[in-house]
Amino acid sequence: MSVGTARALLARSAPLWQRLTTHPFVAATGDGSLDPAAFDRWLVEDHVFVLGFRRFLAGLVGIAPDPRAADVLAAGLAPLQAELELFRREAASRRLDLGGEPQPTTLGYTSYLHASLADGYQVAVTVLYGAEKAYYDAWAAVRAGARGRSPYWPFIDNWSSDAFAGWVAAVARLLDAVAPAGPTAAMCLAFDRVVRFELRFWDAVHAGETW
Amino acid sequence: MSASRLLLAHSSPLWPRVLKHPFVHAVADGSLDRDAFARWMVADYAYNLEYRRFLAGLITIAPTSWDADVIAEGLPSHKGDIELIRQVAVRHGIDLDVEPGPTVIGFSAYLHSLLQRGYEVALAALFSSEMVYYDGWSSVRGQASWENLYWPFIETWSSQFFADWIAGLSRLIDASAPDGPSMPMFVAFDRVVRFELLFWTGIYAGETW
Repeated sequence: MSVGTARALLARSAPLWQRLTTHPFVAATGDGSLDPAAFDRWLVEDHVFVLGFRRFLAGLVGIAPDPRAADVLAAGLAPLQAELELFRREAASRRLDLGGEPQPTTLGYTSYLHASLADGYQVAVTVLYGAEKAYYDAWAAVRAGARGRSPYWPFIDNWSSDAFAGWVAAVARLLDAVAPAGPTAAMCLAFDRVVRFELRFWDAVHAGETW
Repeated sequence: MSASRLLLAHSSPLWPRVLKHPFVHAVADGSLDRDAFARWMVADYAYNLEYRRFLAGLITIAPTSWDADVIAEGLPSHKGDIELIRQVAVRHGIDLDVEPGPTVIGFSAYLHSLLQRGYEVALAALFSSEMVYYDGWSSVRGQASWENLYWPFIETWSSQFFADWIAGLSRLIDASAPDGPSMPMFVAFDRVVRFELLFWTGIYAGETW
């Protein structure tokens, strides 16, 4: 019996998944113990990431195979505006410059998202699912402990909300539909790379990274 | 000053690191260790395969047939590089079909993503990557021995043919930006230099996910 392409990808990457949901950056954000300098780095780098991600998602809408898939993907664009505004408000109150040069991992990761569009819709929608599922699962893992306790709650709430969960589930259904026979080797590789990039992204904002 | 010279001048603070990079010097004096050699072949192979797609993409958005002609001249020598790496890997028992480090994936994806930013910006990135390679390897050409295991690589990337091709690219840059480079061209040129340095450092020091 088929378990669905999205589930098959998750099962293959299970060892990495454990590192995502227990990542020290996520844990420290959840319990509020995160060094404020690391949070500042995250704000700046994630702002760059979301700008790159929006271009990627728009490109994916452009290569969607049918209007239904395009509907689902395009629905992900509007919440990004609210995320960007959240970043900009928070950055302004912390007097952070959002226009500086990103860290190498941020630039490499966003470029990887973008470059996956050239590998076709199947691979690119896999990349999207990897990035979004990683974010949802990690923040959902600390949600219960963070409410009313972490100063970073608005961010945790955003990526562990029911609305975000619904979007990630809709992307999983697109993935199942586009690869009914299960993931191809190219899809498995892309999914795995995204999870690894996500882990590196958190490592880099947590510890700081230079060129 | 021409656009190509302005790009080089703007990123000149990085150039001492290009000319003095320990990886390049270890290759030239033959002291590179076996593990780093294997990492280099894996990284350069993966990079070159993606780089070829980038070059081909640049040809598809080239504004004139002159631009396309000049860029396409790089494809055959590129194929030569890929084949050289395959031969060397077979000879030394190096498996090229392993996952490269994150900088390789990030850097090659960065080039690819620039195709969406328009021809001039992507061309600036191409010029940058080739210039760094040429200058880096030329800086050690005189010190390297013909008997050096790595001589075919040093020779290729510091050759007159390669220099002529890069000169051709600089003329394309100058023609595409007659009033000087745009800010995105400066940014792309500089980022590519920094990615090249990280690429060498990743191979030399050993980079993991």
